[in-house]
Parts: sequence; C-alpha cells; structure tokens
Amino acid sequence: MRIKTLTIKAFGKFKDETIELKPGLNLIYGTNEAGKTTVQTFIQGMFFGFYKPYRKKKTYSEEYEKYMPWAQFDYSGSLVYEVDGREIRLERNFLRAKDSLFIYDNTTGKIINDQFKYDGVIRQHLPLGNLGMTSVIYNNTVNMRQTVHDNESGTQDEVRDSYIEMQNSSGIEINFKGIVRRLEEKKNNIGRSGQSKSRIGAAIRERDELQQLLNEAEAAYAKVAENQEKITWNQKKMKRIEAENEYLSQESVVKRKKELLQSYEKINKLEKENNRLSKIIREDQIYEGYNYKTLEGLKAISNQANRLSDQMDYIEKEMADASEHLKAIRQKEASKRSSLAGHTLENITEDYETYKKEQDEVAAVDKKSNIVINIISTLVALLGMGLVGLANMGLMGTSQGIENLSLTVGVTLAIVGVVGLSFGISATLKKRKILKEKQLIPIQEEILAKYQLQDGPSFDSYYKKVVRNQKELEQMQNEGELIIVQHSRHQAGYEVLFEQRRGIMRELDRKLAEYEVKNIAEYAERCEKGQQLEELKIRFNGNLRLLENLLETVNGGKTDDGQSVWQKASPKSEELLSLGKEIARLEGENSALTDGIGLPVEIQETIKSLDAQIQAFDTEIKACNAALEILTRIQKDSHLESAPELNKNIGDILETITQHYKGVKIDEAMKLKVVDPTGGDFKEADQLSAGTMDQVHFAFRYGIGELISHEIPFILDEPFVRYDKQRKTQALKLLSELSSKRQVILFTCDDEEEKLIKSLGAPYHKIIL
Amino acid sequence: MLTTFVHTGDFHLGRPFTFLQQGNYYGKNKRKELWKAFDEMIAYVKEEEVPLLLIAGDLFDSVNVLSMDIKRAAEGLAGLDKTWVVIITGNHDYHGDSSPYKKVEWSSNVYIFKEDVFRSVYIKELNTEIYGMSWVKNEYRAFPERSFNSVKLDDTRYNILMVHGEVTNQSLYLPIDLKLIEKKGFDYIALGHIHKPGLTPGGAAYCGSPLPLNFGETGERGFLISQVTTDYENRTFITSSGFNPIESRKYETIEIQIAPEDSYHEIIQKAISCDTEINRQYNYYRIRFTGYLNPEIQMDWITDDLEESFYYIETDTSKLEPDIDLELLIHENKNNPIGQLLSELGKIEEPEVRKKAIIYSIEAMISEGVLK
Repeated sequence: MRIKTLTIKAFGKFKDETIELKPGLNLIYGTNEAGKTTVQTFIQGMFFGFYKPYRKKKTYSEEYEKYMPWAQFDYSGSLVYEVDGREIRLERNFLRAKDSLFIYDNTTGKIINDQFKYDGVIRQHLPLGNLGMTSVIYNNTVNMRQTVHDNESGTQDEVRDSYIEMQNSSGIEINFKGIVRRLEEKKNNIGRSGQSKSRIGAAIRERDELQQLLNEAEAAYAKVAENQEKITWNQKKMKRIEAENEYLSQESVVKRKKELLQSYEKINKLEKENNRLSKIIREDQIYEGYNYKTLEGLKAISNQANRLSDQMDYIEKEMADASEHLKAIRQKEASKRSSLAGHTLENITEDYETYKKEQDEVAAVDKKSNIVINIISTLVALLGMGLVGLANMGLMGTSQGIENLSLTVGVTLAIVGVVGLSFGISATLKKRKILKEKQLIPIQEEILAKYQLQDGPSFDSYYKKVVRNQKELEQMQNEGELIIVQHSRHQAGYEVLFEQRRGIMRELDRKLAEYEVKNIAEYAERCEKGQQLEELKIRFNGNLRLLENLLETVNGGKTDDGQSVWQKASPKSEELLSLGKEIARLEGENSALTDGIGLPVEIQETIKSLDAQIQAFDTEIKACNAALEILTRIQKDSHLESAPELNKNIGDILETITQHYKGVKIDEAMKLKVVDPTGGDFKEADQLSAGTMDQVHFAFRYGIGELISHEIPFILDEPFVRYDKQRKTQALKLLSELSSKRQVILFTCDDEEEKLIKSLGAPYHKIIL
Repeated sequence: MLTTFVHTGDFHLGRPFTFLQQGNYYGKNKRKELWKAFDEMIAYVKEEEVPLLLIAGDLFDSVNVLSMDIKRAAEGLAGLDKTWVVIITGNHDYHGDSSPYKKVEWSSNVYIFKEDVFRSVYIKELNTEIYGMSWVKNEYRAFPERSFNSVKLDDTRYNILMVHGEVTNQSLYLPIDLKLIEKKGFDYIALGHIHKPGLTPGGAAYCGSPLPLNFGETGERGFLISQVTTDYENRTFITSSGFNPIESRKYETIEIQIAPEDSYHEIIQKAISCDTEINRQYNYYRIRFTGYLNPEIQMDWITDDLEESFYYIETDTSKLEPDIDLELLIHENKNNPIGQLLSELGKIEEPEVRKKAIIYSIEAMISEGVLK
C-alpha cells in the first residue's frame, strides 16, 4: 500500500494544503511547529477518524479537540492511496454531528463505501477494516509517533505497548502479571474484611460493633419499655389511691368510718369468738347424737335388770332360809326319832292299844282346819310365784308399770302364801301337844316297864308324846317335803329371772356398744357434752348471722376480715409513698439504662447505611476476585514464552543499530530487558539511556512492521532525536533498506538525516512543510 | 351530631429508615418530620374543633417503639379535649403482649379497640357508632368474616367501620373484600395499611401515610377530612370527604442519561441540574444514571461528589453501561488471552459483579497498556 496525496482542507493549522508522497522513503522536513505531527495525525485521522476504540457509543478521542481548526466551520480533508493496484480516495468530514467518510474508487469516481467493513458505533465504513487494521494496531505498529515522554519509563511503556501489539498480531500468548497486579491493587484499596486499615474492613468492623451496641441498646430499651409499663401501672394505681384518699378524707366518710370501725370491732370480737367456737365445735362434734331420751331408756333397762337382781336376791335368800329350815327340821326329826329309843310307833301303838283296851278315851283333835289353812296358803304362794314369773318374762307385754305392778303383787302373794303355810304348820304342831295325859293297867305295867314308865298317865303321856312325836315327825316330814317342793319352785323361779336378766343385760350391752360407751354413766357424760355442743352451735350460728348482718352493712356482704377492710378504708399514704418511690426507682433505672446508649432505631439506620456500603464494597471485591480468578485460570493455560524468532529479529535490528546490545526480552512482570554482550546478562531497561531506549523502541517497531500485511507505510515522527550519529546512520540505513519494500514517511526537523541518507546513497523524496 | 371528622393513620412513628449513608442523621430528621406531621394534624383537629379523629392503625412503627414516643403521642391526643379519638391497631403496632398501647396511660377521650373481632363504640353526643377491629398479632390471612357478619347496624346512627388491611384476595395483611364491607351500609369506611391515599365510590377510604416513607412513595400525602350532613327527608347521612395535604420532604427518583463523551464534570453538572437548588437542598434524591459511560471514568465516588449539592442523595449506576464494545473487543482478541479473559468475564452471573469485573479488568488492561 502506498499513500499518494494528502489534501488537508481544514485540519489543525492547515488549510487547503496538498502534500504529494512518493513510493519509497519520504522525508518530510519542517521546523518546530511547522506541523509535522499534525500531518502525521491527519493521515491517522483520514484512515480511522478520531473515535475512541471499543465503544458502544460514538465517542471522540482527544485528538478531535486538539486538531480542530480555529475557524471550527470546516474540519475535513482527503487522502488518496493505492492498494492492490487500485487507487482509492477518502473524503472525510471530521466535524462532530456532521462527521462522514466517503470512499471513492479514484479511477471511476464511484463511491465504494459498501465494499468496506461498517462500524455500527461510529456509523462509518472502515477503509482499512478489510486489512484487519484498527487504529489501535496502527498506532502500536506502523505509526510511530514522536516520543512524548522525555524519560525512559515513558519510552518503556511505548515499547511494551508495541510488544503486546506484536504478540497480539502474531497470536502469541502474553502474560497478565501486570493486570493481576493492578487488580490486586484495586482490591486492596477496597480492602478485605478483617483488614482493619481497609475501607471495607473498617466498615465491617464498625457494623459488627454497632450490631453489638444494637443488641445492648435493644435489650436496654426492652427493659425500659417493661419498666415503663410498670410505671404506667403504678401511676394508674396512685391516681386511684389518690382519688380514694380524697374521698376517704371527707367528713361524712370519716364519720361513717368511725361507725364502721365500731362495727368492725364487733365483727372482730364475733369473729374471734366464732373462731374459738368453731374450734370447739369441731372438736366436740363426736358428742353429737347423744341424748337424754336414749339415756332414760338405757336407765330403765338397767333398772329392770336391777329389780330382777333384787328379786333373785330375795329368792336366793328364801331358798337359803328354806334350806336352813329344812336342816333344822331334819335335826328335830332326828332328835324326835332318837327320843323313841329304838321303838317304833307300831310297837308302841300295839302296846298302847293293848294298854288302852281298858282305857278308851281318846281325845281327838280337829286337824282339818289346819290342813285347809295349809292348802290355801300353798295355793296363794303358788299364784304369787306365777305372777312374778309372768312379770319377769314380760309376757304381760303391756306397760312397764303393769309389769312392775304384777311383779310386786306376785312377790307379795308368794310371801303371804309361804307365811300362811308356815302358820298352818305351826298351828297343827301346837294342837298336838294337848294330847298328853293317860292311866295304866298291869299289863300295862309290863308295857310301862318296857318303856320305863311309872303309870298309865305317863304312858298316856308317853304315848301321846310318841304319837305326837310321830305326828310331829310326820308333820316335819311333810313340812320338809313342802320346803323341798318350795325350794325347787324357788329354784325354777330363780332360773326364769336369771334368764330374763341376762336378756336385758345383753340388750343393754348391745346398745352401749352401739353408742360407743362403756357404761350408762359414760353415755350420760356424753349426753351432757352433746347438749353443750348444741348450745355452742346455736351460739355460733347466732354470731354468724350477726356477723353477716354487720358485714353486709359495712362491706357489702364481703367476708374480708375487719382489719383489712379497715385498712382499705384508711387513706393509704404509705402505699402512695412506696408507689412514688417505686416509680422514681424505675425512672432512675430507665435513665441509667439509656445513659450513654444510642437509640436502637438510629443504630439500625447506621447499620443499614454501613450494610449498603459493605454491599457496594462487596460487589467491588467480588468483581475483583472474579476477574482475578479468571486471570489465574487463563494464566495457567497460557504459555509465557515469547516468540523466539521475533525476538531474534528484533535483537538483530537492535544490534545493527547499537552495534552492542544483542537481544531484547520482556519478562513476566512486563519489564523490558536487553542482552548486554559484555556480561552476557539481561540488563534492566531502566538502566539504559534514553537514546538506547528509543533505539529499542525503533527496533520493535521496525520488527513488527514486517509482520503487518499489505506493507502499510511506516510513519515515523522524529524518531532519532536522542540518537548519536553512528546509531542514527545505522537506523537510517535500515529505513532506507525497508523503503525498497514499503513506503516510509519520516518526519524530521533536522537536516542531518537528509545528509546521512545522501551519504548512504539511498534514494528519497523530500517534502518541506 | 357528627359534623366533621378526620381520618388518618399509618404514621409509623418511631420508624427506623433506610438511607444509604449517614442513616442515623437522615433517619433522625425523618422521624422529626413524622412528629411534625403528627403535630400538624393534631393542631388542625384542635383548631377546627373536629369532634372525631380516627386513626386506622400503624400509629407506631413497631411494638418496640420507644416509650417516650408513645408518651408523646398519648400527650398529643390527650390535648384534644374537644375530640373523641378512636384508634385501631395495625400490623406494625399490633396489640399483643408487648403492645405499645399498654405502656402509657391514654386519656379518657381516646378509645382504643383491643380485639381482633369487630366491636363497636357508640358516641352518643355525636350519634355515631364506630365499629373496629384491631390487630393483636402480626399476621392475618383471612378477614374475620363471621364477626363482621354478626354486626347489626342501627340506621339512625352514623356508622363508621375501621379496618387495617389490604383490599385484595390473598394477603398476609388482612385481605379485605371491598364489596362485602361496602354492602353492609356503613356511612364511612376508614381503612389503613396502604400508604397511598385513595377513596372508593362505595365510601371506603385509605387515608394513606401522612408522609412518604421511602422512594417508592410518591405523590401528595396528608390526612382525610370528611363533612357529614343529614338528609332529614330521606333519613340518610351525606358524607363528603377531602384531602388535607401535609408538606414534607419528597422522595424524588430521577433518571439521568449519560453519554460516552460526558466527562465526569459534565456528569456531575447533569446530576446537579436535575432540580432547583432549593428543591435539591430539601428533598430526597435517588439519581439513576443510564446510558453509556466513558470506561475511563470511575463512578465509585459519585455520591460523595454530589453530596454537597443535595440534602440527601443516593445514586444508582446499575443501569449505566461502560462504553465498551465488549463483543468487538472479544472478537478482535478471540485468539489471545484478552479475548479469553473478556469472554470469561462476560459469563459472570451476577450482573453488577460482571459489569464491575469487566470495568476493572479493562481499566487494568488500559493501565497496563494492553488496551487503548
């Protein structure tokens, strides 16, 4: 490719200026401020315009403003170049909002814009787009602008840019150390959590501290709220009490209160008494149910038993008497029999009758009456005993009175009977004594001798006596039999009474057991206690009714104890005081709780702000981390080796120019190094002189240029200002060699270049601005 | 006889606010403004001798609101000696165990509904019966329909219903079926919970919050005033309601279009010229930058740099794209690690992280000279 004509219509200081360029080496000469850089920028602008690369919106670059003509109405030009045997004319208007590019086939004059790549952002076709040339590549390779930096590092940056471009262009991997470093720096500026000096670290720390404070503040204010609730409650209570006190202090209320107090005193007394009573009642409850009626019944039963005992005692005595009597009779009988001296009545009677044949006087004694008396007496006694038996067995079954009566009558009759009988018997005995006197005859004498008697009368009397004796014996026998009969009857009566008594006693015992007492006396005792209990109850209930009535009048029926009701009715200054104290205490506690403690809402708000900040930082950190992570991943895969051939080529160029340094290298940290042949080591670029750096730069540009297709012109603006003569000669020699293959445009203000080129004998085309 | 009444609510007194910087400073001021609005409302009611004031829930922002705030509110209402105040509680200040309403003593002119079924209070001198339901927990998925259905209105009275909830089918915040409640024949339905004020033809009204509480809340805020007249002929009441705005700092969300050629200075100028100096120093601003930004410009400190020109400013650069043709860059570098890096960066899922990662990487590459 070759640039033929530059027509600067309005650009920078130029107006309607035309520059013709030739193939090969073009030496554009101009003094300071003649516009060399302007022309160079014009070429760049004609090809690319002045737009920032990789933008989504059309953005003008700095050059736009810089080369804006003073008049500002027109900002345009045209450029004719030849490529692949075709002449193309570019007509560009730089002016903002009117910016445009027309591409003409300079032979046919036709607009051929649509044959070129189109950029949607700047809305223009790209004349070099088809060649893969962008403004970035252009500036990093073929367009070597004047070194703006007057120091080594600036040059080094340019060299590095070129180097990267070289690597990009050649598809060689580059390393990302620098990018990584920049990102790390960025990240460190944001800071990480835990690093106290960083912004985010400080924010996180502050947030965490505040969170702690918030917890404390919330706890404190929760307690304050709780206290406040209590305070309000106490205040309400105080108000109520105050109102009550006010009421209670009124005169009528005071008067009524005095009455009440009296009532309460009564109430108190009553309550005390009732307390005592109720205790006793509770204790004496066991005596309930013991009564006098039952006691009477029990007593009657007991009496009955006693009466039976009496009767039994009597019968016992009677029986004992009868036994004594019988014993006496038996003794008498024995003595009577012994008085017969072994004679029997029959013998004696025979003897006597014999004796008496002559004597027949017999005095008879009526015994019938005595016998009748005896019979009647016996009957009476039997009837009496029968009545006693009936009464005792309760067979008469009517009233106890009749029973008792019949018992008495029976006993009396029995006694009368027995007495009568005795009387009868004794009368009979008396009458027998009358028979005593009698007379004797001879036979009779014998008989008398037999009986040791003197005379008949004595025999008479003896006989009489014997008869009487006999009679008496018989009588005694009868009497004894009667007594035995009587005794057995007594025995039977006794047994009946005994049985009856036993039944009664059993009944009594059963009843006593039922009433849980040992005896009637105990029952009687309990009866008395029971009676007392009833009386206590009546008293208690009476008290209770009184108490209820009193309470009803003084306290609406409530059964509080008088003391508490009285206290209620008294103005409560103490309670007021204690409530007041409690409120003061709570308020004091509240102010202590909140002293030096921030408001939770405000702390929350600060935390929210910090959270927002932390969130933003966090996003920034995440972004850095994500980029770094990706970089590390890519770095692993990438080969850090530079292209050896290219390096060698550049090294050769550098050696040609400097006649000293042999090779260049850019290390991982993007530091430029050159091979120093004296030591054989790499030498850091910043140890090199500015001139040498420029030469390294030149070597790079020169070397890269060879990689650019279509031999796009190599444009250099004052590249040799810091070269010595020898190195400049070598460089110009290289350029002159290059110009045979591609167009070279060299801007300079120094005529030394021209002289050197002339001395090298190389062809060139000179243009003076 | 009721002549006029005020319907307000959703004061959210004692609320903590969210501000992206100096949260406690702006929060404190905002809370002051809430109190100013409350005091203004009270002053209005007092001055006009409005006989009835309805507070439809969320008077306080939380059950944990400071005791001094509750006291202050109670004192304010206690000063309304010619006004009946009827309060229901809302989802924020529900009358539960730690109810703010338990913490202070309320004056006798204040009636607070304390159950979550419909109860009523009849104010004889106003011939007005107010039915209300309060929140006693912080969630109601259903409207207490049974309780509502058992309400029998006395037509000779002016009947008001107070509910704090959302007019919608499904909600955790007491869904309200507007048709159901309007059918009942209330003369006025005082609703709370929704912060945007609004009236329905059926006589239901949201009083709205007296102040906007965040950037989402725009438009005029204040409280509602209703006038009641009696149509003796038809034996009905006629209610006409109006809105009384309360002046306060507004929340302004402003979009600013950025162009790639805009310098940082120009961007700042654009942001500052969004409103007048007076407004800027009064309202809350959220400036949302859109468009394409010169990738060499760092927006990290934009909020700090705008701070002095505004009372409150927060910026949102999430809609701002760096002016880089990433695809082109990737395309032109498809054979080298730059392209590889950029295309990997493009795969980051979180958009904000992705954008920043790309910007930082490009920035680093430009600094390193890898890119121009």
